[in-house]
Amino acid sequence: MKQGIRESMIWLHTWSSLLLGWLLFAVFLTGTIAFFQVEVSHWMKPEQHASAPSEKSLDVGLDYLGQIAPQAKFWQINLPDERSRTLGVSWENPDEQPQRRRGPRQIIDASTGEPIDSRETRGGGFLYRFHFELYHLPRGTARWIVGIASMMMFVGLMTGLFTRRKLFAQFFTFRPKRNAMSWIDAHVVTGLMALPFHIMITLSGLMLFANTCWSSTLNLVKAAAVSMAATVDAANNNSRSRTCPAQPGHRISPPCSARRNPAGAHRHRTCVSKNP
Amino acid sequence: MKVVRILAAVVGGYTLTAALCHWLEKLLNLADRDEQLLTNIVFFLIYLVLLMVLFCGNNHRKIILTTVAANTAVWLPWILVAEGGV
Repeated sequence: MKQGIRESMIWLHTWSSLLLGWLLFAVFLTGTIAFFQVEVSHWMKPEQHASAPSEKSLDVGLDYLGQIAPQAKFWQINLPDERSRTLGVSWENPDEQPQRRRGPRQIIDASTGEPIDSRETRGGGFLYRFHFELYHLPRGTARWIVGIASMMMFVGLMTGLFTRRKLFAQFFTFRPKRNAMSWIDAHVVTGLMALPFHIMITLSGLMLFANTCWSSTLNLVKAAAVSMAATVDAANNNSRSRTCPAQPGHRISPPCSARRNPAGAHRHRTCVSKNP
Repeated sequence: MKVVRILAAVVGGYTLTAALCHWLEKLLNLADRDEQLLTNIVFFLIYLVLLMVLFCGNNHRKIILTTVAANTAVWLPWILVAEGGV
């Protein structure tokens, strides 16, 4: 909102980046660490560290399930892999209703089959959830906030490209002895080098924005259209009722309405005249 | 005036984008899934361009009026179409 397009873009770039940049930093940090959520969860549950996977892990799981749930409708065994060292077993009892989540579940030692009662922590799952649902906020609200932050980052990225007159030349410019300019040069270089990654990160956030904020807006628009059409229909019906040549209290059959409104002849309407 | 202008650009730009995307959906007449995918992607670009355009000008009053006029121009036919029972 300054003089000239470039100055306006600098203003927009600055404010769109600064306002929710602190939140985006937390989102990026937790999102990056969430790549290792299984390892983080394992690290935060030292009770599971003694478990050692072996070739007999499947037999261990089958033996455990055979003892604990012989009558179950089904068993499920999650074998250990390079990221997880424990066995996860779950089953569904015959008298239980099918659930969205699996039935009873137990983490057991992959070599001895002993059940492991780990401490109560969400571990890496907390980081994963935090990076798009934040903490202690209603899920929908948090997704709106993260979605808006993503959109602001997208605006910040794109306007950043417009703030430079000679982008290619400035990419190779570094003025070490000029304090503020040095930081700007560093900002240009790091920003441009990371731009493809930032765009991809932002796009994933924008998909969240689309699926929550945008979809709800579009549904709202469609609902408004439907209610508006209904209101207009009702208004048409009322105006027709005032001109309908019928006795007070007399119901007019659909053909009467159809004659007066050939375009809407297919609609089944009932017109009721009121006693003036 | 500056705050009103920012609100006009952000909120007005959003509503304008919503209307444009709705028109796009209606005019292209695609299958539901394709329609949703297209608007999900096009939405970012339209909103971005609108924001950049609406933040470019110097005259607050002119930008506010432009936003209101553009919204009216896009929403009014849509309301009329809705009135027609579409």
